[in-house]
Amino acid sequence: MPSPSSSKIIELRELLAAKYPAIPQKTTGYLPTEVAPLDVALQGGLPLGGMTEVVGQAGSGLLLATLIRATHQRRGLLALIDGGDAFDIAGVPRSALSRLLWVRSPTAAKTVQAADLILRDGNLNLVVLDLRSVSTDETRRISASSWYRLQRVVEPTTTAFVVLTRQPLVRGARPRLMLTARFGLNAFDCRQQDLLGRLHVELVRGQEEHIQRIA
Amino acid sequence: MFGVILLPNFGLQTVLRHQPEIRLTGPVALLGGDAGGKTFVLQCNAAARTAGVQVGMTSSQGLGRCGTLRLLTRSLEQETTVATALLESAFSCSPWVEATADGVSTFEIRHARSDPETLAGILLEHLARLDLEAQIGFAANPDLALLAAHAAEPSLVVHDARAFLADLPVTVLDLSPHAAAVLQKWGIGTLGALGALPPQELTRRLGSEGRALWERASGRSQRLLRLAVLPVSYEESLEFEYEVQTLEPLLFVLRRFLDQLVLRLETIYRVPAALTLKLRFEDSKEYHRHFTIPAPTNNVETLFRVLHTHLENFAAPASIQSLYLAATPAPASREQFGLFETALRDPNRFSETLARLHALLGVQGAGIGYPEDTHRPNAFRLDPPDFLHLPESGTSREPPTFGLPLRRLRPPLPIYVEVSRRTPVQVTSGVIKGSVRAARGPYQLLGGWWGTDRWTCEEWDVELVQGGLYRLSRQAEGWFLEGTYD
Repeated sequence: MPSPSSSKIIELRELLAAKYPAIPQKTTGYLPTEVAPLDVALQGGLPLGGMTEVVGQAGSGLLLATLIRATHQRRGLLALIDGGDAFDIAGVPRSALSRLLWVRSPTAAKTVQAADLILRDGNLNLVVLDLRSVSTDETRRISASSWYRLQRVVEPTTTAFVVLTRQPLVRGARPRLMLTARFGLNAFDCRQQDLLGRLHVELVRGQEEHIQRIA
Repeated sequence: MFGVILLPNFGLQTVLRHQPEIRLTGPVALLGGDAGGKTFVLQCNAAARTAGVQVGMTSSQGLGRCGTLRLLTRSLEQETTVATALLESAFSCSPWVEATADGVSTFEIRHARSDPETLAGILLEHLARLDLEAQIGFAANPDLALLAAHAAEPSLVVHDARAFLADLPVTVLDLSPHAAAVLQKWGIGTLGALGALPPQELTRRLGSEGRALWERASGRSQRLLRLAVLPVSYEESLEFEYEVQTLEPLLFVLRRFLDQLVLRLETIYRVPAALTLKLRFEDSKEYHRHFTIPAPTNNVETLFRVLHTHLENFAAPASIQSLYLAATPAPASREQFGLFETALRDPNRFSETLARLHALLGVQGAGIGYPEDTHRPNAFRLDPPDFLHLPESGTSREPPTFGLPLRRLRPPLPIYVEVSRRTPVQVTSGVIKGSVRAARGPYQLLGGWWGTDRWTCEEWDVELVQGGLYRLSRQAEGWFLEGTYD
């Protein structure tokens, strides 16, 4: 039976939760990505129940392929919501495809709707929303409320939600990472795992939580 | 000990089962027809009887007695469904079951675990959930149990046959006109009086019917049950009285169908593993759809969502006249999750999500992508995901993947390529423009040469001076930008 003081704390927490529902909840765990620079930047991996934005052009496809392979090795399930229908299955091992739900969406609006459906489902460990091939005009038309809604949907789940964009786009994304890399034709002679070391990841939003976690 | 389940006004009950708004209020009569095409009242409810309507009246006579009388016609499909449900209920008590007559089922109980009163209570509750009103009788022989069922309110267990039969009228015995007239002339009005007559004398005067009547009146008749076989069809259907044009009434009936089917399957410890939906439209066309339930369940809400999600995105070509739903029985699934395996927690929910994705993006909008057995670029197929039966993973070592993944342009974008010494040196398109720093190629691809679908192309990987890796292809129509490596 809780003591009177602890029951008061519980009541206070409930009151605050009811009054300020927008307060982000604490992360319940992290999903390692096997991408060393990214796991280092996030101190463990992608936050479960959180929305992570990865901004960048070069290297983001490599990151996606690594996430698919890592999910397969972990025996997890992954959904790729492919805005612009640009994903090429030849870039990942055939065996990893059996655990990848590929959602091909032609427009930004349908892409967001598909993400909403999959996040509400709650069955998948990792959901990647790829907007890199959607035109800037279309992505700008995605309303801020859509992003907040997705954030609210993913919060109570144990799903890690990643949004891949070319430019900072997702309002409320926490953390946001900038991904940069430069590859030449010699990249085709290297294994993908070796190329991961060339990725440069910078945490541009979410440092506060990072510092709190270290503390 | 024998038990009899009797559904009074069987035909009327079957018609009213899915129409609670009629069943609960107002006088209702069920019409039947004779060979001459004349219709008359077959059965009627208590409200109609109170208003003066009697069995055998023509519809005009019935309406003359009661202006608000609602006339319904028989539904043979519904009667078959309810007869099946009745048999299933009887089979839940015993393997020795007889389909005695329409709305009457007899079963024999040997080594019963519960007493007849408890059993009757369970059966009545089950049938009430199926929207069926029943009377149940238990006695030492089948005929006595039938009489007990007729007298039950709603259940009766006959322990003393003589006392039970003493005051029952002889009319409960389905007498022939001749026997009825003779007994009336003798002043025999009750089964007690009939059973007190000497059987030999009765047989001499009324023949074999007299002997049979005496045995039933004295509670001594014995006969073997004509054993029925447990039915395997679990289906419900309804012919709408009006044409359905909106989703709500359809969903309402479907929900009731699911309730009934799940209840019926529960009696044999099974759950629906698949559902078959059939709709018949005003223009006589039909629509069939088979739904497989990924994790068989008796959760009506889950099953209903499967149908609801599909029908939400279904456009009927015309008004709906009739509805049919069948369930395929299977044992309930029990999932034991592996220690390290992250399987679907709720397969049915995922199936519903997938259906919604298909409704949003089309069938080719979501699935598992697999490369086709060809070297043709961008050749793949999309299969439905089967996350419940995944191959073992993570144990064998995969061959390493080299290079960067390609982000494709679908369809490829025409591009102007300046070539020098058979190598691209400059590219210009709406997406990219610049000088080529380095290029690898050509990679000649050819296929389908043995048939009519012959294809050929030449691929190049290029790196631009300002950065960026791209794949180009040269086909018969010219140069194309296939995608970006990132």
